[in-house]
Amino acid sequence: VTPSARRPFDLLIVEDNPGDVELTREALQECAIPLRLWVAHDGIEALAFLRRTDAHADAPRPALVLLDLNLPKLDGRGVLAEAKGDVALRDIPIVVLTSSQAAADLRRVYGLQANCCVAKPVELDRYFATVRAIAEFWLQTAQLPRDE
Amino acid sequence: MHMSATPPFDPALARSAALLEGIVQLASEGIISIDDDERIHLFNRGAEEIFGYTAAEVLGQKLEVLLPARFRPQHRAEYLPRFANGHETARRMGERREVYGLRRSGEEFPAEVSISKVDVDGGRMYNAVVRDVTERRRYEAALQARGQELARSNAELEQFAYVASHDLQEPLRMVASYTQLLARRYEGKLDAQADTYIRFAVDGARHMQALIHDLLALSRVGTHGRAAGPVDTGRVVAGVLRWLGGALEESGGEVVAGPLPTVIADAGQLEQLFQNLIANALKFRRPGVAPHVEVSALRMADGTPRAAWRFTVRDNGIGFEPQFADQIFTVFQRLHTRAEYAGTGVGLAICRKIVERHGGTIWADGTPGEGAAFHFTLPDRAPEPSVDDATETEREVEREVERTP
Repeated sequence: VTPSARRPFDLLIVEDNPGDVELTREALQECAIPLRLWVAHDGIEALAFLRRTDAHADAPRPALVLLDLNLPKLDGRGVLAEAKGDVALRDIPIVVLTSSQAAADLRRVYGLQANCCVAKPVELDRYFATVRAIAEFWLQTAQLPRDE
Repeated sequence: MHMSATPPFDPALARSAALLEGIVQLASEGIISIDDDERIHLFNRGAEEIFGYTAAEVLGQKLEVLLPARFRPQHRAEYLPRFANGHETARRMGERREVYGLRRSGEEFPAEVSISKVDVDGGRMYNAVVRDVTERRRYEAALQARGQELARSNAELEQFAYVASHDLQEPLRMVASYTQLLARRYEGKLDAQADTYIRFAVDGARHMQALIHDLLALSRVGTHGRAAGPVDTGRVVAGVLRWLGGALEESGGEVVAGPLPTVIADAGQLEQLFQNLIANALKFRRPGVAPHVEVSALRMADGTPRAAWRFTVRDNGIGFEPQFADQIFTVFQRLHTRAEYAGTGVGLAICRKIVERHGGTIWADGTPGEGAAFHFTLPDRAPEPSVDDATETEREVEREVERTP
């Protein structure tokens, strides 16, 4: 019996646009993976959640983070730099969702040790397929260290 | 026998002199003759108009009265001796260097002056034809100011189009996503009318996304161009054909490329240009006729400053009525409904902008039911010194990265 059968995965969405949060939630609902979704609306809140500070003392350690790049207060690059520079957080997979396809932007994001960078597809069907592919790969295919 | 000091009267000479005098007085240009000593011998009506002196006032005076004081020493020491001793017998002044005259009122004016020298009776005479170019300079300055203003406002518009279409993408993505989600979750669950409404909303949002995407591409031609470097157009076309592989296979047609040259251009834009033209050729095919597309290049006016390559993309598709040959390059201009042929009407406008940015021209000819040919020229220039091989290689690497999803 795999761990996923025992308890749901905790997935953190870092996204300030409620429309996008809802779309991702809808897309994930179509996957057959048991999930608990958590949402941070800016980069500062995302780091507080990951570090369990302030109001997030009881936050779970997410199995996966979906990170938008354009965020208020601290943008996605800032979150990446902090999380990947933190020994306690660096093995949490962070998938960056971006609307930029510019080589320089992608290089920068990978340079900050994002686990992978995915363009937000414009067509809804492709968007759903992409979110599902991310969830299935990072939560079911990839081997990650998990709290026992 | 009484010998006269004056030469014998020659009626032909007299007629010629009278004719010349008439012409000299008629000219609106100032015509002035001076001798070796710079004394004025001839001062026509045009000169009177321009300088404000009567002939009687200046005849016998030094030319210097007609020159602004600051030019007199140079004129005396430099320009006049140089012309006097030079091989030229006539030349124009004021083309390369600004020349000014001085009116009686003390006002200076910009002038264009043609001068010549003639030897008469053992002496040297200089003739000058003076044009007052004050008005022309004023128009030129106004024109230049207008041109700069136009360029600035064009750049501003371009920037606006870019920012507007870029910033419209995000909210539009929300509209498109949620109408699509509505369709995904509720199609067939409401009534037939609701399904129709949803479909119109989805189609409208999708079409607007295509429009904004293409508008963004159009404004990028002006705002995101890269420096020109050597581009092997054969390789560009081969790359475009790989990219179009699916559409080409689906159409059951073929694209044949002749020998294509290396030109100096923005590689990314050239790729977009060929891509739009070849994709169009495949798209506007005749029903039931496999598209056959030819890409060729012809060298024009070899070895002249106007040397250029003329490229042609020719197809055997539906063609078009000749009266639409110009219209099709205008943004949003389409000859077919979206139901017949999908599209936004921006593709050929992008092509025209790319070609014109490279100093070329683009045009098309077609015959309904037989096919169309799109031609464009690219000047055959030497590579600009600012572009070296290293930066071009870097740029290519970058493009590769950009293409990799």
